[in-house]
Amino acid sequence: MYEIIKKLCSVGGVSGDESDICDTVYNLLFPYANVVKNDFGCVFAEFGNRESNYTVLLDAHLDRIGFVVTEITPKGFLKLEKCGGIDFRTVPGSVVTVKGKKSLQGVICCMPPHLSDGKEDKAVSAERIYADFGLPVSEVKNLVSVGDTAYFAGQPEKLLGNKVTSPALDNRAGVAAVVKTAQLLNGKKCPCRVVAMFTSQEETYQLGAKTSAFSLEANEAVAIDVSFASQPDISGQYGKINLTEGPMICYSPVLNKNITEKLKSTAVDNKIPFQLEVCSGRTGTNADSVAVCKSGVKTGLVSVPQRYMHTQAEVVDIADIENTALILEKYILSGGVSNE
Amino acid sequence: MNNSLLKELCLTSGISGDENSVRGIVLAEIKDYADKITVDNLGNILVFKKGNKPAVNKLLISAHMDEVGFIVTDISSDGLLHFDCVGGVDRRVVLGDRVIVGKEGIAGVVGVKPIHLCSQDEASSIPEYEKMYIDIGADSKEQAEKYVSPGDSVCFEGFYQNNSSTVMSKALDDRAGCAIMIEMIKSELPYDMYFSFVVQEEVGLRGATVASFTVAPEYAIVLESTTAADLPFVEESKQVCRVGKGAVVSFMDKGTIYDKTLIKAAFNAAEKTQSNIQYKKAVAGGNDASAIQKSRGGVKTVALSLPCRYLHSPVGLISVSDYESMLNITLELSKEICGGEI
Repeated sequence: MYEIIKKLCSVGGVSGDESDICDTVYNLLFPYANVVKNDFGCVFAEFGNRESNYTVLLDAHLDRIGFVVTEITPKGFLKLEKCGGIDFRTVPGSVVTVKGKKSLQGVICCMPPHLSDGKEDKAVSAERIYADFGLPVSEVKNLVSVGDTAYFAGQPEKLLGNKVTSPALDNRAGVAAVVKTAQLLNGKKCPCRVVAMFTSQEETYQLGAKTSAFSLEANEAVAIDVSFASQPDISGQYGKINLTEGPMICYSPVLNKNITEKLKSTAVDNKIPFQLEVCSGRTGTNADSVAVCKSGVKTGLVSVPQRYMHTQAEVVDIADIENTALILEKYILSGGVSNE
Repeated sequence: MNNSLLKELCLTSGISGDENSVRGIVLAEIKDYADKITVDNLGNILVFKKGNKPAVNKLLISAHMDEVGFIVTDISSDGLLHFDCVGGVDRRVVLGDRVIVGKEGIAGVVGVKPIHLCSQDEASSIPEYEKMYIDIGADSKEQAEKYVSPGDSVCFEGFYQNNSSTVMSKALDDRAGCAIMIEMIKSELPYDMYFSFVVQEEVGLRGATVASFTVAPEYAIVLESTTAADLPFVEESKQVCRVGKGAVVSFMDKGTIYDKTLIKAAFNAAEKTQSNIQYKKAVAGGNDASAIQKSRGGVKTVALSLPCRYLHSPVGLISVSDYESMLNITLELSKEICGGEI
């Protein structure tokens, strides 16, 4: 599983610029599924019983948060704006990769403490986000254009136990779980057809999920994303969700209750650890869009618990990804909610 | 510039008080080229190298081996590490950083409250160090204690990239100064000279204080890196110095008013060697010159610095041509000082 994570997290794919990650996902699924890429940055993988007229749709967004280049300054710095929910508290001093004609690594400008403005308590504001590639402006202009994307350059790294840190684990952890699900189902007798859609632009405007769910005929859908695990500075329900203790099955007014219950009973029956997440309204994931597509799609949501979301320091436990795949596998083998 | 040497020096972890690995590299590099090498009680490396002639004036050239970083202060019951900074690190470059912890060099990250769960105020606030923590993946204090204990060093994860005209790296402050001194020691020198690779600059110039006492020089050149603020959001009058415009000479900073004769000599040396040189146009920062100048009965001291962007952050940036300028100016200036031409 760590190898899959490494492949998925070490490539770009900022919202709206998903071609690299599309290729990676395509290649990972190719041995197990009929795979196609579409014109909107999405990959579709069909597996399970392809003759069945009952289709379970799985969704995992494959885009990552990042930046978009809005200006090249006369000295060759790149002005960056956020593309997705970048957290400016973590940005200065970070290394970013800009995807120009070739990939370049640079550092986000920051001021040394010796010249401090005394505002150390406040995050820098958006207009202070520039990247420095240490190259002459002529070279920068040859390689980079306004509109190119950039992302945190960090590569996956193992932490203690089964934990891993990397930028883009939101939602490459979810993508990995779906890839693993296809692997687990490979060669097994499956009662239904499965289409996994790996969708673009979730972190911005959910273009991929809205258009893909419209294009694909499905009887039900399960979205796979990441959600919040406990850490010292959060309280409430997420303060009680722990890494390693299982995927989070979501209850929400916008989700289908039968799917949620079935996901839960599947985990219980197969002794797979899980945790419950309750959203009082929309979930903030593609499930929100998929559920209201066309005449409506019964939709559920499973999330991999994660710390430090939307930073370059995101942390997940590989066991939670494995268990997400196990729940999905058993859920699909039991026919989803086709009998209810 | 010796790229592989600079890379090795910069990627090695060595916060103040924990310079052992850096010291090992320096000693291995210079052992065949110096006439006397001692490691003193604080861990400074003191070097004497014979030149072609005895020196008229006794000169010490000094650079510091330590870098800024963090130190583990406590381990919480849930296995997270509390820490404080060692040397000055602006808290705005810390959240979300990848770090290397302890003797075993295990990976960790500085935790951040997800922005989705932050109040408006929290989302734009940087917490105090005492509220920050490092996550190494441990589930409990007991698990963390197998790998880490309070007092362990924490270093920024290494990054190094040479674009042929610039170098971006961790710890250029002051491994670049160390690299220049190693290059000098490996070269043939016109006069006898002393060098010190010192510890603990970032926590109060402590290594230089004792090194200069021991060596007892008449003159000193401190090789440093200093704050280039030539950035798009800084107005020109506040940019201090500029990358690519040559070695930087301070007339005054927060610890030293520099020797005027030596400042003039540095500019003359630049002219002679056709090297670029610039003034540091601010009274800011400070370095080992402050300790060395006040050593014993006083030492005539000058600082030559590389203009470096993003000092004391995970990644700095210097220019290769500035490095060459600084090396050439130092060679010329040291020759003139030792030869009694000043």
